[in-house]
Amino acid sequence: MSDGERTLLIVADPAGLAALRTFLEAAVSELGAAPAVVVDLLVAVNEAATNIMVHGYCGRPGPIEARVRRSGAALEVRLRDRAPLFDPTTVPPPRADLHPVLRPPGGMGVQMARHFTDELRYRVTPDGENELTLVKAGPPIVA
Amino acid sequence: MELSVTQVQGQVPVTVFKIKGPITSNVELEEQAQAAYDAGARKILLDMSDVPYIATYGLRALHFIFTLLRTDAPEESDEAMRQGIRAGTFVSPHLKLLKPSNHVLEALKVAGYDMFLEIHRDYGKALASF
Repeated sequence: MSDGERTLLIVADPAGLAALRTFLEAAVSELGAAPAVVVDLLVAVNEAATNIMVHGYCGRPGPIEARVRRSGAALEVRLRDRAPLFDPTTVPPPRADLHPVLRPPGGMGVQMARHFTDELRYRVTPDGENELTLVKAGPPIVA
Repeated sequence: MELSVTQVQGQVPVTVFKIKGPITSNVELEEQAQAAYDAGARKILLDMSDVPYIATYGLRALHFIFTLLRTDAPEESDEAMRQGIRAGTFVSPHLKLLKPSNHVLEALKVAGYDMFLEIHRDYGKALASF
């Protein structure tokens, strides 16, 4: 098992997202994540990347760079994109006063990403890119 | 995602969607549901025993199918639905789920979809529940 950082660059489209899921599953497994943690990260990262594709780039092709690494016992996935600056960690949770059946479908992506990770961090990089880091804390590592 | 569709005759005809693989898109599931509906399906059971996870676009498809199958019967009117929601008793009589994995179940709970979609563990009982 290697602790080295894994990187993938995709175009934000459905094929790119499929490639991202394949890459992520292999990368976090190689980094020793337990199967349940792999799935948690797959869901969370897929939601974050989908939001970049749909809301950030508005369906236009644009790059998303994914970096996966271990940080102590935790796993971190960083997504960088060049869409207009937006901090997804500021998105409020869905309205609790509306029953899910009455709530318009959609708008749950950030909530899912929050739920299936332990931390979401956002910053603007020195190059002016969005950077979202999704953290899955320990104990995800299996020998 | 792979999808196979089977028609089963229980107390009422039930269309069973056997889904295999993660549900990351709404498109195929919605298209297949619409096709089944157009062919006469009115009760759908989604067998999710081979679905490791579901994305929010998959949840979108569940909401689409729920709406597609909803009828204008008095017991499904807006008012009846609101009353059922207030009482915590409203569930779709037309769309039910079979054996979602723990991860899928967790996603359903996060979205609150477990509040209006019946979840079954036994195939026979699921069919008989329609």
